[in-house]
Amino acid sequence: MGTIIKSVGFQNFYNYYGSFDENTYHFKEGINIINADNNMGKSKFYNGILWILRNKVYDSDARRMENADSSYLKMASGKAMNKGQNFDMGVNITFINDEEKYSVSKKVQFRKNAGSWVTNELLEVMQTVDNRDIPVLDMNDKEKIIQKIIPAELMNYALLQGETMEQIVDLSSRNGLSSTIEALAGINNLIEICDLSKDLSQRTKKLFNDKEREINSTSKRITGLIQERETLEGKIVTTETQIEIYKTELSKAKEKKEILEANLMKTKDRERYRGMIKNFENEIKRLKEQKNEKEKNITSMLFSESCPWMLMGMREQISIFDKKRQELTTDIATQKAVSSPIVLPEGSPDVPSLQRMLRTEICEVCGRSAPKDGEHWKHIKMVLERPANNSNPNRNNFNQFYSSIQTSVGAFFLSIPKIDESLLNYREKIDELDNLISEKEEERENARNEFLNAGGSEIGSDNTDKQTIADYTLAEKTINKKEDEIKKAEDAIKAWDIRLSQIETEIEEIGSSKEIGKFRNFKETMASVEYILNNTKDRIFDEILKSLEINANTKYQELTYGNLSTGGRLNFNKQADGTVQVSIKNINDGELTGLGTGFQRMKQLSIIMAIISSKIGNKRFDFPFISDAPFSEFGDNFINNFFDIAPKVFTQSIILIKELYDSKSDVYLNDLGLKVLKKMENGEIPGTFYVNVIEEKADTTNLVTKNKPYVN
Amino acid sequence: MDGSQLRDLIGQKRPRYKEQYRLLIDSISKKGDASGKGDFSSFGAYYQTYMYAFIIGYKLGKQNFILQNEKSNDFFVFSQWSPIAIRDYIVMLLLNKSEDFGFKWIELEDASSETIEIFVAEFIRQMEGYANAGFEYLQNKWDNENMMFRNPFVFVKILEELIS
Repeated sequence: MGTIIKSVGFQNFYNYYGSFDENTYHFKEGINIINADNNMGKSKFYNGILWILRNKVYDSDARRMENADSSYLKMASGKAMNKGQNFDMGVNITFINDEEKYSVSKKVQFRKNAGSWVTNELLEVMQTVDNRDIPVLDMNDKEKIIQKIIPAELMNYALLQGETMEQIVDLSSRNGLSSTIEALAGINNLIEICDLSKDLSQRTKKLFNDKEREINSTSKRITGLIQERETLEGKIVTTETQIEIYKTELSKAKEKKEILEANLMKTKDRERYRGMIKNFENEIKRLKEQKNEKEKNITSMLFSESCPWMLMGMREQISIFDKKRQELTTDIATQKAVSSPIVLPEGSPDVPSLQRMLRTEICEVCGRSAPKDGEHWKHIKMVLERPANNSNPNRNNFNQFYSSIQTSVGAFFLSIPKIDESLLNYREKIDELDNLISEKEEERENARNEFLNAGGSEIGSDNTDKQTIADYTLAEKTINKKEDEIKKAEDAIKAWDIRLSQIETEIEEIGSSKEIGKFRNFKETMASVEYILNNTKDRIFDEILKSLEINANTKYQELTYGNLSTGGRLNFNKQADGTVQVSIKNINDGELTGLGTGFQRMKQLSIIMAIISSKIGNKRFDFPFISDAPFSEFGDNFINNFFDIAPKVFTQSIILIKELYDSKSDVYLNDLGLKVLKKMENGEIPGTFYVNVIEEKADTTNLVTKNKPYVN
Repeated sequence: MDGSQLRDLIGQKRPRYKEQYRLLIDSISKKGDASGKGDFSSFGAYYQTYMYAFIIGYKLGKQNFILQNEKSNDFFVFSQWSPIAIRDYIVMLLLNKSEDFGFKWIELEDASSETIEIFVAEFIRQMEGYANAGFEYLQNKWDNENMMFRNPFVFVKILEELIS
């Protein structure tokens, strides 16, 4: 028994563009690592396995499983589709089971027809016999061979997807717990016997009642008590049935709570990151508006009345203007001086007298002679020719205009020298805003990455997360209500039981027929058988759970070994409805809270490992353990521990991981990746090591993943 | 004539720009939203573009007069341009150069109203000369270094280039 996957190949499947030859991973016993960054094909690889085994794929946008046959267009390589030519998409797994080699291929042929794609599915299964591949034709045989890869009952524990990991270990639901116990102990027969003994016990009880009534038909008092007893017993049966219903409802609510709780941390994380992103976006928007406002204001700053940038370097013009004004004042004064007329005293000679005096060469004012061209004659002539008083009554006066101009621009004399400083400050403010925007954008990007890592999707899942939180609250309320109802019903049964004992005593005191004794014995014997069988079943359950708890704790300690913060101890707590709650206790037996998702997942992983190793004793799990991104919340220490422990538990594991990836490194590995690779090369860790790379940048639909085998 | 009459006389005028710069002026004035920021940096009002172009021409010491047959467009009346202090600064700059275009201040004091009319016409022509030289410079930038107009500081940078 047991299966080893030898290879997994892809053809035009999501990112895996090209033929099977170009996209095949060869695997060995031990750990097979495929190290890839986001969008480099980890989940697509996992979906290839899901398609083969379950005919489903996980839609990471919708965050749910989808039927593969309704997702072919999403599954096909975007690049192959964009080429527009016919192509085949497929996944192939070759494996060895019980020394027989098999090959399973699921394919879809894509053919273009009138502009649309027409698809045709194929399932090819081959068995290698004596080095010859023989096709398996019968559909049932094909299905049986697919089941050989991982049997259906183990698939829950062997296929692990980071996002849904918390939902896999199902001890909190009655069905989940039963199937886990059954998977571990195979006690179905015992359960059937318990059911049978219950039925027999009921029948003997009825037989006893009938007989007692028949025998005591004459005693009114006894028949009355028997009637009351039957009524009470009826009530107890009805109430017990009701309790079972309550318990089923309680179990369902707990199951729902458990599933929601698994997502709740992520949901709360997503809600938190969503809030952070929103806040950052608002902040960025506000800062951009501020910056925009500042930038818009630049042209108005050119015309600022207090410090107009436009006038930079033009201060001297104000001085020139001032100088010109002063010159004008001087010019006007000079002009006035030059043009002022000589004013003669009252009674001075008029023009004709002056002309006569020049002609006669006699000054009529003093009576002396004034020879021509002599000093006195020239004086008379000067007086005659004195400038006329020609001051212009229409003369302009623009001084007030110049003055108003100077007043208007005067303030610039002081502000122009400050323009450089004003500009510098302004530029610095815009730079500051730019820096703040970049900072906030980076913080937003970080929050966005955290949001995506927490399972966030670009598609608005806001409402889904809100619904999850609302559903969780409702599930909690239902649990409280059902627990209360169960308690009330059980209290009622206790009271009825007391009354039943009293009735028995009363009947005995009155004295019933001795004949009834053998029926009573029979009834009591059957009740004892029922009690013993149920106790046995419960004891086996408890023992299995105890052993599981011990085993899970061993694995948990191994996985968390070396971690600085203690991960506490796993505590399996049996609930009133028979289910088990697993919590983490601290050394004082108190509930350990505040542990990250890493610890929570480690808890689940420990339980899975415990279930697997409990089932097979000291041997290893003989089927491939395939896990997509189980470590997205784990630290390096956890990852290291996992690689040490996994080969002891799983014969073969295929681990899709991004925590060893470093896009800046030449070999795409971070320090931890290099360490693990070295251990593999040394043979300390058995297995293979692949790194997925994207050689050409493209949008997500056109991505092409290639693999680099480091150890194979 | 007194100062306020001269101010009024100048204020009534509508300085002109050459038709060939209309597209440029449209592109860098009031484009985008009202406050002057769209795809490209721009001014809030057309007359601010004109004042800016004038300063560019003035700093260049270059004039590009509108020829007689050249197609041109009128601007808003000068008295309505704002801010008033910047408008006055432009008046001051032109008055500082009045001798260069043939008018001494002292002569203006005695000049007839006809002469003052001539002076004002020449004053505006000088303004147009500088402004159109500025537009010519900006047009060249627009045609050859268009991307720089995406920078909100473009109009500051252009001024800075002329100073350094």
